[in-house]
Amino acid sequence: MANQISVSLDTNQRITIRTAPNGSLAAPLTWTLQSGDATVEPSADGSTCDIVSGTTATTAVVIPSDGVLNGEVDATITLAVNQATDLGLSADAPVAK
Amino acid sequence: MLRWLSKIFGITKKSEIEGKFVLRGSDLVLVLNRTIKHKSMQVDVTFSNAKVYDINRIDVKLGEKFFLTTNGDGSEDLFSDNDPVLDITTNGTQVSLTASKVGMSRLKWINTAGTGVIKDVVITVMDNILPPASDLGLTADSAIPK
Repeated sequence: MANQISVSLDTNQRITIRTAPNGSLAAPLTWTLQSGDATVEPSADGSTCDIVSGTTATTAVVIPSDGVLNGEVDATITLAVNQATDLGLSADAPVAK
Repeated sequence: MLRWLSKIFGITKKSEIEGKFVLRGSDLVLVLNRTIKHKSMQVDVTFSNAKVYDINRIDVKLGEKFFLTTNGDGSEDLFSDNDPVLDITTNGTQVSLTASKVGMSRLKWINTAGTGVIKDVVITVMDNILPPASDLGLTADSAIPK
């Protein structure tokens, strides 16, 4: 069963969650942040969702639902958000002034 | 008159008729004071393994053969707006159908007098009918910078 996944990211990261339901959905999935300070950015059809970490290191829980699923299926995404330890600095190639 | 109105509009009591006769040109016209709703009709569907009563909308798998049964008197006219989707054979109050192409078709029954739709049923033909999902198949990409 892939109704529950746990992922880890830091406060400088985002992650895309994808779905592949094994049957029909009553409605396009909605994605709700149940706890934590992340933000959710669902695709237009609800089949994927980007979760963007917040500024604090905490656990975020996101619930995808078609209005029926959560009644019988506990679909949950748990994110362990860690404080960023890497600024992710990078440099483009030098260019002429 | 009451029998005629009953058949067309479902009026069963004389008290349901309020109005007057008016001479319009050379025509004597009955003007009713109230809006009359057309008598509705029940349609049931029978599949090889199930019967469902009083339907308004169904989805069926491509190739499925099924029957609709009405509680009318068989004199109603049946029309559909997307013929390729369904092969339709009408025999009185029973309609035999085969889902022949993926798509949607709306069936309408018109009353005997041709004055109104007394039932419409939307039938959608699909490649497959899936049971409700029990597993979302969640996966996660690799985390990337914001």
